[in-house]
Amino acid sequence: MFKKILVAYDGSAHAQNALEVAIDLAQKYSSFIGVVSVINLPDFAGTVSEVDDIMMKANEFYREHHAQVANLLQQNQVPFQLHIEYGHSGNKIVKFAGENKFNLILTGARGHNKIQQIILGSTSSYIVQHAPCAVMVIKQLQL
Amino acid sequence: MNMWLDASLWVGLALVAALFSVRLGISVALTEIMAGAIGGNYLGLHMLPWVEYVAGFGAILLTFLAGAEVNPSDLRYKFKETVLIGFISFLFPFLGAFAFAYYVTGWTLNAALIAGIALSTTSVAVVYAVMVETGLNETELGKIILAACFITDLGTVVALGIFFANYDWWLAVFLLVSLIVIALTPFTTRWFIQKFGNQVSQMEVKFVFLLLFGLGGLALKANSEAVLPAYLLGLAVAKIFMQNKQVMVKMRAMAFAMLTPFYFLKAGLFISFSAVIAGFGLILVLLAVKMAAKFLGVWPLTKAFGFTSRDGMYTTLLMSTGLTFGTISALFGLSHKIIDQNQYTILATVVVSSAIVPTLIAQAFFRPKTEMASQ
Repeated sequence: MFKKILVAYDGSAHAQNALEVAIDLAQKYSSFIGVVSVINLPDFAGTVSEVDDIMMKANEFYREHHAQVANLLQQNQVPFQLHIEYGHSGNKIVKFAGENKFNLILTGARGHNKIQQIILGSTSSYIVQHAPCAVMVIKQLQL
Repeated sequence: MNMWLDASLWVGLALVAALFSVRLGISVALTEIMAGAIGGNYLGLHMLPWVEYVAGFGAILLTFLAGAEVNPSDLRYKFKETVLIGFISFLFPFLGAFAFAYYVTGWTLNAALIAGIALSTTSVAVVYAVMVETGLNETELGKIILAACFITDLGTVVALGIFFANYDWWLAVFLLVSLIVIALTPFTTRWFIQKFGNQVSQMEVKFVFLLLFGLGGLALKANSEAVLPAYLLGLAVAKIFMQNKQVMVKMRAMAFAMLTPFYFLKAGLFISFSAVIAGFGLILVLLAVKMAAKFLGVWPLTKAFGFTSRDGMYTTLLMSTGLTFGTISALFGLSHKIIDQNQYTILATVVVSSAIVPTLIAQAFFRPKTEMASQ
């Protein structure tokens, strides 16, 4: 049913929950897992250094986290691929899923309060509204 | 207030601006300008002599770093296309905005020149971020656009450096010393880093500061602008800094922690909200003039060099952006009393708008097919 599962991974505990659900599903459906992490670049940047610094720090962050993710997926013997994209999270994840024909997107819900929702919006809401495939939002993992 | 309470207000605003920048994913330069404007209009933020120094140092270091971020091989790659697009991208909006400000709005000759210079710029940073996001920074098109942006900004700093200079002996001394120092800088800087680099006293950084202050001082003597030698010094050491990234990292840390926030807050401080409302129509028209002039200059060239219509439009819109050098030029005009605060407000608001509007249009309607196919 879900041959290709995409996990939107930002290194948070919620994303980790989504990854664990993805592994569980992948073992049931013999799925391939794609893990995509998006580095958000500043809109209307003031300096090149600003962009470079964000890229450098985020790449470092995801290098460590992706190593752990790879380890977990290998231990569970799930075929996988890791990706880093640059841009706006929701938009990039939806596009990535569409272009690479994923059947399911798994994303963690970040738990913004009302004010943060209004100001920042929500990546998971954007994905639910715009995804070209099924979406599962993992709010809290209760096993 | 005493000096430290004043400092806490400035740094507090910079911190709040940085927090908003991180949370909203917007450039810290933009949020600092906004914080400065709010501080100036509502919180009683005002200029102080030591802020003048720190902000000025921030502008010089920002310009130096902008020059040092140029990849020399990107400049040489497709040199003819790069220089031509970059120069036209400077010249057309410069002439367009100058002519509009002088003939239509009736600004003085020098004020109109400041308008022309401030609106001629291209924001390399905006272009760079969009290029990285779309993956175009690795393509031929992306390299040409980025390098052309540097040429455009070079045109801006040269114009700022020569239009208002006093044509006297000080200018001759400034030009001669600058020529010699900039020619020798790659060798002396490399030697200094090799010999004294990575010490606790950070001597290589002090050496660069010495050059920046020395040439900046001579520029002021000639009534020119310290950002001109700073940009050229940056270009001169770009290759060395690429090979010694630690020096660049240290200078960036100093600049962004303490110096550039003061510069951008100061740039916002003089924006009067009432003047924005009063001059809203003029702001829109000047933004349109800048974008139209960029279109008239850059778009035909992209066609001549074989860009597709979509790539050409995308390039043109990205080259219509502006921020850092635009605010530097407008602030130069204000601090030299060439323009008044209302005129500064108009120009600074157009500059800030030009960082946002063309980017949004380019991203929404003209993303190159190559990028979309690669996603």
